[in-house]
Amino acid sequence: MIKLKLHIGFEDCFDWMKIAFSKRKLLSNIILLTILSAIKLNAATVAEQFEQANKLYEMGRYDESASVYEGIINSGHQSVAIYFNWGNSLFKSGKIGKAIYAYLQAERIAPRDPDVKANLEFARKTVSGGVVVTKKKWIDYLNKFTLNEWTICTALMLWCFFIMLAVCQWKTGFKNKLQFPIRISLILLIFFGFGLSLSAYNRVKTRTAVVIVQEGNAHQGPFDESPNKFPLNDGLEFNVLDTKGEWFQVVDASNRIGWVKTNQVIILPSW
Amino acid sequence: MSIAKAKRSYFIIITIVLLGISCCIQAASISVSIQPQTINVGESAVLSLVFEGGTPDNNVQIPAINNLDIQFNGKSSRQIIVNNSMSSQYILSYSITATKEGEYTIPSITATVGGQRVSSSPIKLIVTKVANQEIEGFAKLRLIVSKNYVRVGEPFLVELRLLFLALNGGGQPQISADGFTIGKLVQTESHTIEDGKTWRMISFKSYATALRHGELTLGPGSIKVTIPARLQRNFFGDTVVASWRTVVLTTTSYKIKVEPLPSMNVPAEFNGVIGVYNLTVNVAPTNVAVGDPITVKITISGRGPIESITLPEQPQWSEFKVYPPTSKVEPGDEFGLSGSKIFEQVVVPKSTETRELPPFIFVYYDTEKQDYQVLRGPRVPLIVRPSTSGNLIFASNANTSATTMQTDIVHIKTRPGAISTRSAPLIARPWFLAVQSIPAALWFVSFMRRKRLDELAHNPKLRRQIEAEKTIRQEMQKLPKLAVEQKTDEFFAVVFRLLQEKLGERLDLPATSITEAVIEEKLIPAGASKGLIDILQRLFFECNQARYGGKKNVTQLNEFIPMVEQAIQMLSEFNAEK
Repeated sequence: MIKLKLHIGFEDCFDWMKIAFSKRKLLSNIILLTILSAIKLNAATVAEQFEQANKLYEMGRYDESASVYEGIINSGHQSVAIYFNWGNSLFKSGKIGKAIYAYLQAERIAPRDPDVKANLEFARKTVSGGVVVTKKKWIDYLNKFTLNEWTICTALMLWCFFIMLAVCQWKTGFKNKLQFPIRISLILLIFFGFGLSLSAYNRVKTRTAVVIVQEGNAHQGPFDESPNKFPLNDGLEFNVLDTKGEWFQVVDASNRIGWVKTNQVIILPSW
Repeated sequence: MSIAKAKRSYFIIITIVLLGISCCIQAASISVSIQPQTINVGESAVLSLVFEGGTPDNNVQIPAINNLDIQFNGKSSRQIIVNNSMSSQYILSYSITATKEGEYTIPSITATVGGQRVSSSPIKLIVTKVANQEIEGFAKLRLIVSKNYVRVGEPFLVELRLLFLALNGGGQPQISADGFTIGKLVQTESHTIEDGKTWRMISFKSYATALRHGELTLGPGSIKVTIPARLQRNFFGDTVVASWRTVVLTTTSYKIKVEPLPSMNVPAEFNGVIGVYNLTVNVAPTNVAVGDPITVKITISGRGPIESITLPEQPQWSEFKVYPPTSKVEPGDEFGLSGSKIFEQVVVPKSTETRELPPFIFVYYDTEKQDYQVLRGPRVPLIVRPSTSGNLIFASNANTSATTMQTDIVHIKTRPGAISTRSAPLIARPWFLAVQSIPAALWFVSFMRRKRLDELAHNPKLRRQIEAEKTIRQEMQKLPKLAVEQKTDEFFAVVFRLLQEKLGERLDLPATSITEAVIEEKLIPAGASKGLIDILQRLFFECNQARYGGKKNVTQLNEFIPMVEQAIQMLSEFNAEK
C-alpha cells in the first residue's frame, strides 16, 4: 500500500470507509469512495511524474525534466518541491528567467524555505552579475509569511476577539478576567489585519514580470519603431506599470522605465 | 470861480473818466499751451487755448496736421483776481494723439474776440519713438549665447530673455537652430532695471549642442506676444492701455564657429565624452575568493552632458569577468550639464594569480584645455583566495547561507511534499469570508441577550408579565387533564390560581392578595367591560362553589376551559392604568 502524503491520509480514508459501511448509506458511500479513489490515483500519478522528472534531472536531461514538472503544474497541482525542482531544471537548461519565475512561485508557497531563497538569490546574482536585487524592507518582512498565513492569523485573532467579547456578554463575571486577553487579541488582530491588507494589496497591485528572452531591448514607447531604452537580459525582474495592446510598461529596481513586448516577459499571477 | 480853478476841475474829471474807461475796456488776447510737450507715439497730449478779455465770436479752427489726431475735448472758463484786479479766462481744450514720431509745430491760431482779431503764437509738440522693441509693446526680446566657439557635441547655454512692461499673453518661444539640437526650455521669471524702468523678465534657458562643424547660425529667437496698441490718459491723467495687438518679437542671430574634435592623438579609451570632469574610484572588497564579486564604484563629476556618459571598456581588466554596470545620476543643474554620475561596476576575479585591479581609465575631451584628458583611478591591490571546492550544496539553513559562498544552485528536492491544487487564497474565497462573520454574529446575539436581560432587570413589571404568562401557559395545560380525571377541586384550584396570576399582573398586586373583591374594588373603577366583569364573577363563583363540594362531570368542566381562556384573553387586553 502506498502511503500518500496528502492532506487526507490513507488511514483516515480507511476509517471513513468502515464508518460509512456500518451506517449502510450506500449511495453516499459509493460517492465518497469514488472521490477518495480519484484523489488517491491522482496523487499517485503526480508522485510518479515527480519521480520521473527527478530521474531525468539526475541524468542531466534538464529540458525533459523541466517539461515533466511543467506538465504536473499545468495539470493544476502544486507544491514547493515541484516549483523548486522545475526552477532547477530550467536554470540548468539555461532558462534563467523562467527559473526565477518558478522560484518566485515556490517562494510564494514557502517564503521561509532556505533552499528556495538560496536558489532564487543565486539565479538573480547570475542575471545581475553578483548584485543582489534588494526590495523594500517592509516588503521583505511582509513576504516572510504567505498570504494564507496572514489570513489565518487574522481570522484566528478575529474569532478569539469576538468569542471573548461574547463570553463577557454571556457571563458578566468573566468581564474582568478577559479584559487583558481581549486587549491583546485586539492588538494582534489589528497587527495581522494590517499585515494581511498590505500583503494582499502588494500582491494585487504589484505585477511582477520576468524577462524570458535571451536578448532584447526595452523601448521608449509601445512600438517596434520606438527607440531602444535599455537592454533586456534573461531573468531581469520588473514591475508592470501599464499595459497597451501587446506591450507592458515596466520599471526595474533602478527605476528605469521602458516598454517590453508581452512575449518577452512572463507575468507572475496575482494569486 | 477863477479860470485856473475851472481848468483844474476839467483835468480831474477827464482823468477819472479815462481811468474808468481803461478799467472797463480790457485788450483781448489768446495764449496756447500743450501738456506734455513731449510724448511717445500712441500717447496723447492736451492742447489748451486760453482767451482773455472775452470769448471767441466764432468756432475756433485748429489747422489739420499730418500724423496728429486732434479732437475737441470741451470748454471752460475761470475768473482770476490779481491785486484786486479781476480778469476772466475762457479755455478751449483739445486732445492730440500722435501716430508717428517727429517734431510737429501747431501753427498760429487766429480767433475773433469781441470784434478784435487775436492770434496765438505757434507751439511745438515732440513725438518720440522709443527703441524698436519697446515701442512695439513695451517689450524686448534678447537672445544670449554663452559661447561663439564650440566643438561638435559640446553643449552650451542659450537663453531667450523677454523683458516687458505690459503684456497680455504670448506664445511659445522659438529659436532657429539649424545644425544644433536645443534642449528643453526651462522658464524662470524675475525683474530687472534698465533705462530707469523696472522690467519684468521671463527667461527661457536651455542648452544647444552642435551636430556638425562649420560656421553655423544660431537664432534668431522669436516669440509672439500681445502688447498695447494704443495708450490714452484717463480722467485722472494716468496712462492706460486703450487697445492691444499681437506682434512677433525677434532677436538678432549669432554666428557660432563649430569645430570638430581633434583627430590627432585620440586616446584609445575615448568614447566621445566632452566636458570638464573629475574621477573618483572606490573598490571593495579587496580580499576575495575566485568568483567573488568586487564592486568598483566609479564617480564621474564635473561639467558636461553628465547623463549621457557611458563607461568605456577597460581592456586592462581582462583578468576579470566584467558585468554591465548600473548607474545613477545626481544632476547639479536643471539641464543635466553638471553634476555626478555614479557607476557600480561588478568585476569577478577569474584566478588566484590576480594581484591587483588595474586602474580604471576614463578619457574625455576637455573643452577648457582644448585637449583630450586621461583620468586614471588608483591601482588597487587585491588578495584573491581560491574558491571553495566543487559545487557547494546549500544546507537547509538560512544562517549558513549568509556566510558560505554559493557556487551552484541547491539540489532538487526528492519528495513532492504536500501537493495541493492551485486555487485562490483564502482571502479571495467567499465562503471563507462568510465564515468570518460567525464570531461577530455570535457576539451580536450575546450582546442583544445581555441587553434584554438588563432591560428586564430594570423593569419588574415586564419581568412579572413574562413570568405570569409562563405560569399561565403551564397551568392552562393542566386543565384538560384535570377535567378528564374529573378532579373538580383541583380543576377550580388551578382556575383560581390562573385568575390570581393574571389579575395580580394586570393590577400590579401580589397574586396571593387577589380575591373576588378586586372586581368591585379595582376592576369596575378601572373601567373594565361588563363582559369581563360577568365572566370573572362567574368563574370566581364556580371556584367558590367547588370548595363546598360541588362536583362536575367532564363535559361541564370542559365547558369552563374556553371560558377561562376568554377571561385570560380579555384581561390581557384590559389596561388597568387607563
